Amino acid sequence: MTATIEFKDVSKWYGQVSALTDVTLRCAPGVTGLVGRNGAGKSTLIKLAAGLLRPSTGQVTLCGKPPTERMARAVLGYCPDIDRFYEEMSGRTFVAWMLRLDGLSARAAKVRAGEVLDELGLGDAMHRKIAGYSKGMRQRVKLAQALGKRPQVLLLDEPLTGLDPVARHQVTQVVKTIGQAGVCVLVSSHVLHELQSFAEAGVALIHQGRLLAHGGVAELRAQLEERPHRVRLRSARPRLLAAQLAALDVVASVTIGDDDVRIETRAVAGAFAELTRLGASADGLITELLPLDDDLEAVFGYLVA
Amino acid sequence: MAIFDRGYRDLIYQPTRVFARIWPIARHELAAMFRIRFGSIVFLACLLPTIGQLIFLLMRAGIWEAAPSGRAGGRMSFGDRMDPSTASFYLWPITTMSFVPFLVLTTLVSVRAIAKDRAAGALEIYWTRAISPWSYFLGKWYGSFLLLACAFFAAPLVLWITSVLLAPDWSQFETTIGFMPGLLLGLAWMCAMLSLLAVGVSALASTPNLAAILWLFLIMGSMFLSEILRRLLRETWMLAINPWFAGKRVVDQLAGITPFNDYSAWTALAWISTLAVVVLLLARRRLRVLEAVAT
Repeated sequence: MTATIEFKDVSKWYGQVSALTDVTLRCAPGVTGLVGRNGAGKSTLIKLAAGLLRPSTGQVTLCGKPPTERMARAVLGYCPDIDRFYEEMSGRTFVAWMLRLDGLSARAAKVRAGEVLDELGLGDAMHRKIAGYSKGMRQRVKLAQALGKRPQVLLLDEPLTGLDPVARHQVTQVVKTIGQAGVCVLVSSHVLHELQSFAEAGVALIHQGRLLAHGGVAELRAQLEERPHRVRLRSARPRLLAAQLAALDVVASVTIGDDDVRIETRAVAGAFAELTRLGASADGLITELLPLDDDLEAVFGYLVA
Repeated sequence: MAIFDRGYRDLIYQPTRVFARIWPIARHELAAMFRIRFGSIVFLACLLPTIGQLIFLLMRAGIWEAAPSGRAGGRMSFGDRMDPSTASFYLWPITTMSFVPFLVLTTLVSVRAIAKDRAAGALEIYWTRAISPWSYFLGKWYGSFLLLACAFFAAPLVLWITSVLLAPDWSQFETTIGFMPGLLLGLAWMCAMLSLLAVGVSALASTPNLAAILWLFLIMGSMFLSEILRRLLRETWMLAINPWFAGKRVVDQLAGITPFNDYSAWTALAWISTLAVVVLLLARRRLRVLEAVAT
């Protein structure tokens, strides 16, 4: 059974309000990022996949099965965006308890809960009550209860919110590893640059309930032909470099700074080939090359602008 | 990444019996009262009527008279309440003295059971696990039932066992064995029905406080209503409107006691069953998966 999440022509209305419109999306094994502004429909999409909402039209399947089916639930790990739990329980008790609901024996659940919390960096704090946990620790407990059962499909709603940089790195590494293990992970986040670093299976951009784009960031960026790529070139001789760049067909515009040159190009591949040639031709002509709008944030900005 | 590198797929899903999945929920609910010292004190306070009866029994043991009256039936009199050979001795601390403890226990635990999960958004997590809404409800009810049973079933059972053990011979056992199974069955049934109602009300409410208000309104409101209607219409069966009174009437019947306000136990049984069905039907609607998510 291949781990997949599929949305076919899915729409969701809350009364008169349309939360999602005709979303068709197939998430393959690996980490797929879900990007959108507040109220764009990210959480609705995740809850549809979790079987917590029924689509008004269309069809949602997890590994080929409707998410409300028991076998679909058995392969599903879900990390919601809420963080109020059983405050009087310790982190390990809570995770073990959740695992027991999935049918693990008390002993196995306890061992597994300890393992997964340790993995997420809560090894020392797992015996403390959740009431005393910070926001980041609560996030990791939530993540642990979803990961503990070793799901084949993992839905993470804003898992990086409230995490400090170290914890964020830890969590992204774990999610990345799980994606590489063949688990289908759908993760929504506002931290776009970090999402880009681990959403190896691509990103889905949602805006006002519509799926704007789905694919790899570079792939999506390349499709935005009306938006020229901007590249910053640091140079010891910016005027000389600007003159040479202006002569190139692939360069649409050139702007000179004190120690750098900024160019715009519509033919990325050709431009980079020329830049490589220029960089090799004279010492110090190009000391650093920095694409300015090839990241997820820029793609998202262009698409929703 | 030690764990995830070591064979991520090791944990294979295996269907387990419903009880194995609902027991953690039930245990959590049962233990809810005892997690803080205050809860344990309140629980002990709820046992005071039975503890008082137990102390009386122990004091009496020193001057035990092995001449039991052997009366299981009849109206509950003061003499019966002090006589360990009568059903009244075991029922009095529960059905007469434990109305307030019952209200306290159900309001603090049973009616908060599902409402607090709903308010915290925890239902979202439950509904994505291998457990159905009804299994979840069953777990909550079972835990709540066990808590009430500890107070209102186990306590008289302990009282009875103590009385049998303190007796100089088997006469106490022989005298009481005739009505004790019915009495204990009645108490177990009463605990089951009242906890079912409380957990059902909990499933209806969106917050634990609202659930507590609904519950108090149901119990206290029906108590006042039943009393008013009984006086107005001069019909004793009107008392059955109150679930506690109805439960008490059924227990009295099973224990062979004729209550002061006598009416058909079937009426009480029918009313409490109807109430339970109505609450369950409403709870069924509120426990649908779609209801778990605030929209």
